[in-house]
Amino acid sequence: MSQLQGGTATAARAPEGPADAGRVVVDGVGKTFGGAKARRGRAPVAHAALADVSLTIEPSEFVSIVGPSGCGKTTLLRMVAGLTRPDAGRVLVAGREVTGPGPERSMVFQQAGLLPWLTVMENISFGLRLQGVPAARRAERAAELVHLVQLEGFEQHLPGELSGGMQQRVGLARALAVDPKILLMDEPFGALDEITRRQMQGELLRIWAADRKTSLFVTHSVEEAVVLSDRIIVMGTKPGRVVAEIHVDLPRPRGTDVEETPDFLRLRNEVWQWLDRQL
Amino acid sequence: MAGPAAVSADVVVAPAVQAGAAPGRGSRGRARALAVARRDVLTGLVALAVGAVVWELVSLLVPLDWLPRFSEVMASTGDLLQDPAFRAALVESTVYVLEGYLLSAVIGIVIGAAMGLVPLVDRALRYYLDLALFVPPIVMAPVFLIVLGLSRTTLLAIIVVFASTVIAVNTRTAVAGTDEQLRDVARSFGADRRTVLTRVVLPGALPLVFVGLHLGIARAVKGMIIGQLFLAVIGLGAYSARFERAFDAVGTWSVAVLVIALSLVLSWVVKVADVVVNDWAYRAAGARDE
Amino acid sequence: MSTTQTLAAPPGTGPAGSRRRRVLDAIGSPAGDGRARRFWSAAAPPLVVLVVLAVGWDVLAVRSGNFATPSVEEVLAAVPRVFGSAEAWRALAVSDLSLLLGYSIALLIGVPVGFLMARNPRLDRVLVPYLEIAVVVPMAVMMPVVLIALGLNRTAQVVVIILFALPFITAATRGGARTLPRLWTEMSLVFGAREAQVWRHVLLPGSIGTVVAGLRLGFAQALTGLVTVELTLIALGIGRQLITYQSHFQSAELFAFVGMLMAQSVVVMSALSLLETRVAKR
Repeated sequence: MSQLQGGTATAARAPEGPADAGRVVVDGVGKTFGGAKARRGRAPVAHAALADVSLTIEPSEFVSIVGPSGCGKTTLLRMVAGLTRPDAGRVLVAGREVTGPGPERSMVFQQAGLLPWLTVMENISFGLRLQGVPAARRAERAAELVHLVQLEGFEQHLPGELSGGMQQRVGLARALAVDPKILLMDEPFGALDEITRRQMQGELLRIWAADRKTSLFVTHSVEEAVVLSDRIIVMGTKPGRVVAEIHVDLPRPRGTDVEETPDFLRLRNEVWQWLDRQL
Repeated sequence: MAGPAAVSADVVVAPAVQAGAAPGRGSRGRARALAVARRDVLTGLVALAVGAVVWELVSLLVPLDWLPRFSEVMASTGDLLQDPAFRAALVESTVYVLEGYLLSAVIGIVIGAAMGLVPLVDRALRYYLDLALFVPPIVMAPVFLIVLGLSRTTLLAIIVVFASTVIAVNTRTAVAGTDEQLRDVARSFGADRRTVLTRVVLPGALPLVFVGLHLGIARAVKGMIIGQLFLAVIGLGAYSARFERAFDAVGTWSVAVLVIALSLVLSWVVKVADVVVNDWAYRAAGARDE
Repeated sequence: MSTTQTLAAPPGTGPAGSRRRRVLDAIGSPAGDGRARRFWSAAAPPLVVLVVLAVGWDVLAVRSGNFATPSVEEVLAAVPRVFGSAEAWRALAVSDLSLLLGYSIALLIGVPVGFLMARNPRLDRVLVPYLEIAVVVPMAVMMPVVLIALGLNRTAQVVVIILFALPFITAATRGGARTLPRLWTEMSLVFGAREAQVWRHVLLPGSIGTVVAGLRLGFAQALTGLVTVELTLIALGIGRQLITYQSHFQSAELFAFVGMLMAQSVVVMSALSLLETRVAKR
């Protein structure tokens, strides 16, 4: 059964034991753009991307954020990643405040962001290389992940020689290679065609089932959110804020065939109802 | 459509130089485009002012015989400008630049357009254009001196060689690079070849042609001063050579300051013209800022 | 980048191409091998232009030009003399040394500064107006100042060359580094890269292509600086050689020597061009 929460208050908790290592707490976060610095030739217009957003992601939970353009979902994700600082409020990971990127969080980008001069193996082990992991161990780990994302045979290929879907698989492998506690994904399938997208969703379900990493997944697609998540956060615009939280109690392990079940349709319609109110 | 794209090795510099891009619609867009051009000019002036102050301080603290005080140089420049002979030389040099530039613009645009439109012409001239880009134009100076002697024509020839190549290359790319689709659109509405040229190719090519023109004016001034230094008997170049031989640092700096001012002013004029004529291109490019 | 773009209509087709085909058919050339026709349609026009220029030269320039103007035949005859002359090569070597010194130093300063400007927005805002001005302004006008400061020697030459090349190398490097996708640097930050690692793993490898493009631009400017200073104020190598030819009224040799300079320029620029394409292949 789904629960609807119109409110936003979720109190922050003090750090507990290792079980908390994968918990993300967003506490009253706000972000304003364009206030102080005027754009070229334009009058300064303050734009509240996020206002008083709070939510908690429990360890091993897969949470999706859906919302219309401009609702601040990517900004929120970047804050958890440590790429952007909130103007108000704070983000806590494992009880500690986020001040920048860290080894316990990694990210999959919409545009893959692979370095075009590195091979698939080198791209996958990029994060490990930065952490100073020795070459032998890197190669081992990269081989594991190539197998996990089913790219055997493409180890020495360059990104330019891969299709969009394959590039995203490399991006995912790279994010998993550093064994993060929290996996952040910014519309990773947004740039792919419908067919590849569906295929990748199935892949992600399979891969996630193995490890059950705490995940925060931003997407435009309601169907995708319902297929992949345990919980969906619906956001609204002007200002960006949480509008609803919907629990997805579809059974796991799942495949993309879950889209045919009546429960799926019900949840999907529920999310759409909330979204329609925002548009 | 993005703003004018850079082309030849020379033109790689254009993005650094054309920093301004203006968002906006309609007449407000034009006003904004002008505001941005004005703002870039202002930034340049402020930078120069700061440079002048630093110069004055440095030359006060560290007396160097080759670095006179900024105030001294300014005073000397003022004196020189009072001298009718010097003023005549300044005017003469400016006239050379403008004449040479106009010639270069005509030659460059005609050749570039011909190459861009007619494949035969392009095949015929392409290697020579490449050669002209690979070889510094100054090496032609001794050749011109021998063939044309010590005359106006020699200096004009040097300026033309400096400026026309860059204009030709950019015009060629501008004309040849017209979106095939746009040409098809015009033809589907029954436009004949000439109309396609004037209504589609020409306006679309103008921004990049102006990139060439912008680079060309700077090169025309370079051609003028280098040509005059080489020939050493006319205009500002003669004054410069004379000051240098007399170890007159102040005089040398005065001429330098004036030539720099001349090249910056002319460059800014072309930039403003560019922004006014091609504000549609900058409006779209301004979206990148968002 | 050279002007070797292919245009809309492939050679041999279109009105110009069909006219050529008709001419070829009229003079009875074999219509069989398409490859030969393609070769000629590519090679013939520039050759025709060359011939026209050569004939035009002999007719116009020699007749109405200065009495010292050499004819095409005279220049061609002078070429082996000049290219075989140890004196000419020595002059070239003397100048090339200044060129190499000035160019290398300009690279050593310009490339790092260009990168720093691309990476550090505050520094960039401060320096950019000066960079723009330096690129537009005729550096030649600073030559007399350099001369007064350093004298008529190689050091002054090298400084002039640096002044000519540095702004362009910096601007080209900066421009290239700025077009680096922000995504790459952000991605590396997410994976824990420190500043030095961002440089080593993202900025430098990613910008190599544009740095090489800047190398070509910088070389053209450095060469301009060299020839300018040699021809106008400090004649140590090629300047002196040109004066020698001029004072001995050896104008054919002078032309041939200018040809030698042009050839050197073409060789270096082509080599850098090749390097650029090979690097861009990644």
